[in-house]
Amino acid sequence: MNTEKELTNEFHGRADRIDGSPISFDDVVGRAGAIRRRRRITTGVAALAAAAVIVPTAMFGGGLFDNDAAPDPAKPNTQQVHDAVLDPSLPEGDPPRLAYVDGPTLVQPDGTTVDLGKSYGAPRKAGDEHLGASGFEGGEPSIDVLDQQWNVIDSVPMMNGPVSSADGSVAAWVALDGTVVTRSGGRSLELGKVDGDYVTPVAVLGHDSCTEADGGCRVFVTVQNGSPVSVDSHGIVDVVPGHFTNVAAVSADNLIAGVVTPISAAPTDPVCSAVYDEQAMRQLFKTCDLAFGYSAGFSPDNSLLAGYHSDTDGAGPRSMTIVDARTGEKALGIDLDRAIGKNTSIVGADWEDDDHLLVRTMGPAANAPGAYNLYRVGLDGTVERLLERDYDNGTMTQPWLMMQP
Amino acid sequence: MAQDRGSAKDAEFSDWMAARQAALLRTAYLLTGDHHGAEDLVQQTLAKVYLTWGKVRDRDAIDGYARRILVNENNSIWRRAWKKRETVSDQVPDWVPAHDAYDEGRSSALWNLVQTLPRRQRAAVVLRYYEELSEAETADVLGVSVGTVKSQTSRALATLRTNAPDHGISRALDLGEEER
Repeated sequence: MNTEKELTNEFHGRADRIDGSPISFDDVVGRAGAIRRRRRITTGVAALAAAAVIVPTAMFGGGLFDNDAAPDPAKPNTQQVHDAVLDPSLPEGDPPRLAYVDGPTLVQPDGTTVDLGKSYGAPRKAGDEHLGASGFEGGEPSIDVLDQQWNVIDSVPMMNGPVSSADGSVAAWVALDGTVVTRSGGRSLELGKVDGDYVTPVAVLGHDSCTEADGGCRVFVTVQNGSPVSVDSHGIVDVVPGHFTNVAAVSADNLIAGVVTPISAAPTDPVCSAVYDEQAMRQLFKTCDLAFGYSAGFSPDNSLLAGYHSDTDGAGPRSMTIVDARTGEKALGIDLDRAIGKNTSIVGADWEDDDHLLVRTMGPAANAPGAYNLYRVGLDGTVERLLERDYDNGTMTQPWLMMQP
Repeated sequence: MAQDRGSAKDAEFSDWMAARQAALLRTAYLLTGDHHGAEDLVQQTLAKVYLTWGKVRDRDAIDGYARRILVNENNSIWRRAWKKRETVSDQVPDWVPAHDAYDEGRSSALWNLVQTLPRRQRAAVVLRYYEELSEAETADVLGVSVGTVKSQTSRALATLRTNAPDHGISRALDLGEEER
């Protein structure tokens, strides 16, 4: 018997006796509603298969947004709006100005490389250290603490993370039991435990230290099938204001972006997102056309916010819109060139600086799981193509994961 | 009237789901290697099919569409992290075969070996040797070229043959080395 027949026999022997229908119609409808609300932007080949779900009704004449609160009159939008087109035929430009990770290799802006020993995704800064997540390819997910020489000095099991504060001085993750743990100044500190499934850290507000004596810090987390909460250095776990069902990004000046459509909404209801100003205690704007999850989030100066069009669930987005973080008005549109095959989509974006985004695209490749391109897109509409490759390192890790902050 | 249309859609979907759920579970089990993961994967797949049900004009294409979602959901990086969390449980689903003779002996070793394959390679061999799809059909499901299917399948088989001795499988005897 050859290998192929052996496999066929093994597979049929394993699977053919599985029968029954354990999943009810109600289960499916419930999950469908969760999908619509989360508006996940999947990566990798998943983006090639599933189609866009529901096309929101376009809002003509009144702009993209349903403003529940008036734009801040003190900061009128004076920025000229541009539309950028991602074109793989553009000549290759300068390399990214951010350090990035490509499989197990860290590439510094000066071109020097460091072998990290394993694929961490994108490590996050925690003062002089970095935190790297691993274990999703097999084994238990864990956080490795890396010193300045990129040596692993500690490794702890985790549920989700890590994330970093805007200045990179504080990082956080969620331990297996739901405890939010921070790392700064070379020490780990447990803030508090969050009940619920799949607790995920989204953002950290704080500088240098998370101890109460030093002013403390605050970690925002999302909870599957529950309200997002924040946990602070006093150990207080509190629901995030703004009636969010999940939080996508938090700016250093306390703007919160996320989904506001209730969990109880019908699966066919539009999924809407909003930005809430925690200091002013008011919603700044609401949109049912954009989703802010799995995007670049707020710009480093907190003035802009990156979003994907909310009808891109599953199929992968082919466009992005950068909006004024306080008014929701469009500042920049980013679209894939129409000549690019329909199976190509945007799989990631990061702010390189206040005026530029780094955008990754992925499409089918002849001899590899995916063909990737990396673009630099300026707020002035300029586009540079930075890197290109047919990518297959066997790790399922995307290339060019930018080190943020 | 809109409600009537919704009810009709739900009824139609429900019928399709009842007919196809077991088959999706079988493939999902081979892709994920565990029953909880398979059930979760199928639920996710069915939910996505449900959301697009009203948009799919060619009902004959639904099965293939669902298979594409199933395989590619399983391949997505994000999902693997999530699934890992969701599959932790002490409870055994009631649809698991009461006694699985394949848990012993050579087949168990082969099964373990299959689970060491990278997900794309594993998907390729499941589609080729369980679903018995052609290379072109497999390429369509995976959203890659036929050449990639050939290379992924070839790598998978080579890995199985190479690693067989480490998993207690006599390479020549049990994996048909002599027949290659």
